[in-house]
Amino acid sequence: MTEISAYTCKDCGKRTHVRHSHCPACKGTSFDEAPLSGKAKLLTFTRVHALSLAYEDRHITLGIVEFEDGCRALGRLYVDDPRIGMELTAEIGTVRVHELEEVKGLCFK
Amino acid sequence: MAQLEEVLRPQVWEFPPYPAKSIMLASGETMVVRQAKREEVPVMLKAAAALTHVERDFYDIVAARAYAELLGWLRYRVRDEYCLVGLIDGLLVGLVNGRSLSKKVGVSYHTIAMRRGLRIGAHLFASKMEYHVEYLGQQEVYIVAESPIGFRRWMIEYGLEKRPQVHHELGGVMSWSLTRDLYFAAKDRLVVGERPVSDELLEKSATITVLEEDALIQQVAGKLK
Amino acid sequence: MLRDVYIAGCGMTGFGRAAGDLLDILEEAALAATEDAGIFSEIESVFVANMGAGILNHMSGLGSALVDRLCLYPTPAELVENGPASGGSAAKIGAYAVGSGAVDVALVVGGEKMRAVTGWEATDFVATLSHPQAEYIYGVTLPALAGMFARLYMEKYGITPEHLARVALKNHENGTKNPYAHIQQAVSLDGILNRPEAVVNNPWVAEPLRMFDCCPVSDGGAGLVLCSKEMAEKTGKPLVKISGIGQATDTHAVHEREDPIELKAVQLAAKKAFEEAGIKPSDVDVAELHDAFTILEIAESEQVGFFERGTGHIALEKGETSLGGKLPINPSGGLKARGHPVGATGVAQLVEIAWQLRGDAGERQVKNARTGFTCNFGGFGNNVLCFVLEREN
Repeated sequence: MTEISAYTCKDCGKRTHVRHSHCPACKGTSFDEAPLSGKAKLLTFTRVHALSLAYEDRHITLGIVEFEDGCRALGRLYVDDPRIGMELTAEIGTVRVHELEEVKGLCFK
Repeated sequence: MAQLEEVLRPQVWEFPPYPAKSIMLASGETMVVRQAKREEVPVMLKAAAALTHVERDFYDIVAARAYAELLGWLRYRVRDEYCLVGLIDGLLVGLVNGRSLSKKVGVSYHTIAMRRGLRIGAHLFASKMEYHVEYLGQQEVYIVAESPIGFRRWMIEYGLEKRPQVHHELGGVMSWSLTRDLYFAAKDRLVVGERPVSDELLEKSATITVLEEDALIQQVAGKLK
Repeated sequence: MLRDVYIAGCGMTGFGRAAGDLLDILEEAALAATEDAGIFSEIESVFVANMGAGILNHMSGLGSALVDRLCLYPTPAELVENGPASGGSAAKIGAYAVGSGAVDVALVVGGEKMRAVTGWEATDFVATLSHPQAEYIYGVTLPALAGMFARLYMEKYGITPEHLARVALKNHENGTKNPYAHIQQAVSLDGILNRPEAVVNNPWVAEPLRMFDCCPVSDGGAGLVLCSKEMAEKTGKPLVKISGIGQATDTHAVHEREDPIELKAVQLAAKKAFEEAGIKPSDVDVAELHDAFTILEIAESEQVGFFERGTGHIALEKGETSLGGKLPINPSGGLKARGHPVGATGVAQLVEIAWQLRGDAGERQVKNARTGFTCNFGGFGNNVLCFVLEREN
């Protein structure tokens, strides 16, 4: 199964989903890469109605979450009534189809 | 001659009327949506004719076809056709037409918005669906479109179903369908308006006026900048 | 900068839907600016701002293309791309070229032809500026990022949908006074918010943002002739000086910001522009802010320093930011009504302020405007440019 990574700075322990050459917190340059998974808290969200041509859905819901270790990420939300602060679990799923290829990403339930 | 004419004239089903409604637009202006009368066709033909050479957004083919359909209604060559108009103080800002294939099935013809950016087309298309389902009591409406952009928008907003076995009257292409269920699922989001319309507003909408050709073309195609 | 830089000429095309191609748009904007300045053959460098010709119009090398159209060769030329802040960036680079003494006259032209594609494709094109792995693949759109921002900002400061709608009301009203505006149609609070019809009139785009909270997709171009004081004096026009330029960047992915409602690049760019000009935000008479979404006008009006945090919507409500108010914001109609041809916007904001300071803004003229400000917001706030403009004589 495809994994989505997070990077932990070997110097200060800061964890980010986005890969950087230098740690945003301490400018350190070496990282441990590990899968991003587990429980996360919802920080904000939106139901998007005006989508690109790639989608035939009437709307999709996107949100920004914070994992228990402080790592943040954006992903697709599969919750009927999202509320800021609610607890979610991350899974990997298809988030977009691009040129017939399924693109995998973070889905929160 | 009269006898020959009778052969060609379609039988007419006396269908229930569409009760007028009023809709406040984003601009704060009030648009009255009401059923057009057969004797009002000539003034609508004038508006349609003006748009038959506007290539932008498929206005040309939509206006030319609507012209032919309306003329067919006026001269008794289309069966069970109707037309709804959108009027602001009597000025024609859009029209939609269609017909009944049977008591159970409606056919959507065309939607023309004569002012842009105020969702007049969306309101009128919704009114047309409202007529077929709620007032004519039909089970479904066959739909197709000339403009891929307009069509994709209807498809996503209403979630239309495919009808591969049905060739739509417009060009014989595969038809899409809005069923009663789809209509009622979308109604809260897409169908608005107030009834009854006040006598004062109805009075203002009693006579249809249309813009002069140049002004109408500019309103639709924009002053290309 | 080593020496002062002035706007000797400015002009723009009507925004909306262009009949011609992108090169026609750039040409029209370039000629509007050069004719206004009465300067043409003296141009020593050309900077073209554009975000998406490669994707939208299958064109590249626009600097060379425009120089050829104008037969300005062998004048040096280049394309500047910085997302929706491309215009601000090209103006900055042009100003630095003149300010450094490298050239005496620079032509800056921003242009975009977005209506060559459908709205869905235009939405996707703008979304390509989001983070490719952490945002774009999820179907993120700029309205989606703005929606998530708006939800937090509104909750924190008690901003209601009515406040957002009032930004649209004001800017649409201003747009009716601007012959260059894409949308010259006023809207009503009842029609877009209060009445039941609003669900159709003003549908959701990315909750809590609706259609009238978002700028339209536009074609258009704008141009500036930047030059030294000696050259500017020869035009015989009121002298408009670029007295402060600030630029700052922020994280690519919005979720990496410690507090997603802090627009740090806006704060820093504004601070630097004000410092360079040696003025305070309260000295500004007229401003053009980057209201790609209504919430952004409110947030920027606070974060550049015009209003205390959490009071931008109150100033708006009181009419302080309307024409005739204490600090008119977006007299042009802003991105909301003037339109947002992405590469042109930063230049168009400067054109509007130059017109305001020269007293050439017609029906939307802000009385006695002598100091103006612009904020051009790239990405979702990851690259921002601010300018202070002052009238000298």
